[in-house]
Amino acid sequence: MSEDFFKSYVEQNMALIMHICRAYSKDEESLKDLVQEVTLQLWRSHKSFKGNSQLSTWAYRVTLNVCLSHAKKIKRKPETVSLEWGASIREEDDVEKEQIERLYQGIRLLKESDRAIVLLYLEDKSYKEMSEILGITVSNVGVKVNRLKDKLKQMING
Amino acid sequence: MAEELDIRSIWNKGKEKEDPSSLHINMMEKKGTKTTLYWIKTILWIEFWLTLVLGPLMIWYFIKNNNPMGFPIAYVVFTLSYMAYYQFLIKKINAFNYDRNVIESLKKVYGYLRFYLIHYKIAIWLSGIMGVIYGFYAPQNQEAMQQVETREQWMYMIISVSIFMSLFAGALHFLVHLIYGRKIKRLKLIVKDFEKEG
Repeated sequence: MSEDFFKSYVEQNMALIMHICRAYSKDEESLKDLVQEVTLQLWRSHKSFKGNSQLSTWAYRVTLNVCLSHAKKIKRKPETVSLEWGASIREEDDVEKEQIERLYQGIRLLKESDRAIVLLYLEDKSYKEMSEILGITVSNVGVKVNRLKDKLKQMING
Repeated sequence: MAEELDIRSIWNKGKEKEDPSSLHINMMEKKGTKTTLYWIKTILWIEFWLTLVLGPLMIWYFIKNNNPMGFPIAYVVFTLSYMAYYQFLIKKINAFNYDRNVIESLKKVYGYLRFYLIHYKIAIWLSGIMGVIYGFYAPQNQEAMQQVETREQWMYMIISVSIFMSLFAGALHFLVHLIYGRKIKRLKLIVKDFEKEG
């Protein structure tokens, strides 16, 4: 894996990659493993990247697909998520931090397919893009997004 | 609408605060998870190298035992075909990446491997039958075959060879199931899982 590849394909998307992987990780160690796996898969598939979409969109798609596959793999194993495991982010405003942690917590409690929809929604993808990535109809996306938004709001508000 | 924006803004705040340096990702480290496809590919590579090593040995065996030239020639074709088949499957597995539609891509790989497994199981039994026929006609066995004279002796020999061949092919069948069957079944479950969630 060359330094050039890392700089051009991974480094500039690392915050996005970490952010998505965090929603599929149960702790800091599994986050690191998942990010490492995404990095490896980006490296494996970067030759097929023809520039038809933005680099960040491509990185997003690969990351989400790796995370979904990872979630399927561990699905049959009982998993516990620490309540204190949230964003290991730079400590700032406590209220803000708590909100972010609750959002992560809420996302992690959703089933994988719903998690993918929420992540796409949060990343500002259009319903059409979401339907293409997830392989479901646009109207189905709309129904699911609305339902999941309500569910998340309830979770965040406690 | 305001609440919708809130969720997105919380998400974006979280993203701003992500600190990639905290993970210490080693860009030189290529250690990925050992997936089902990884193991299948590894086994296919082992089979490829075994074929490459054992093929010439078998050809040498045929020639050494004064078999008709058709035998070693057929075996060369057989060996080359299988090596090409292994490479084809390895290439198909390598072509799978997370850049495309994972379900479709995985389904294709699953299809190729399932066919390979079925063909393998059929090939084991066919090879067993062909091995028995070869055993009867092989020049090095002709002397022993001439000593089988009575109808009862023939019956006894055919039955015992058939039982031995069935046990041997059955054991190989089971071995193939252990090596590939469970992994391909796992792949099928993953595909089903994806379809269900979709």
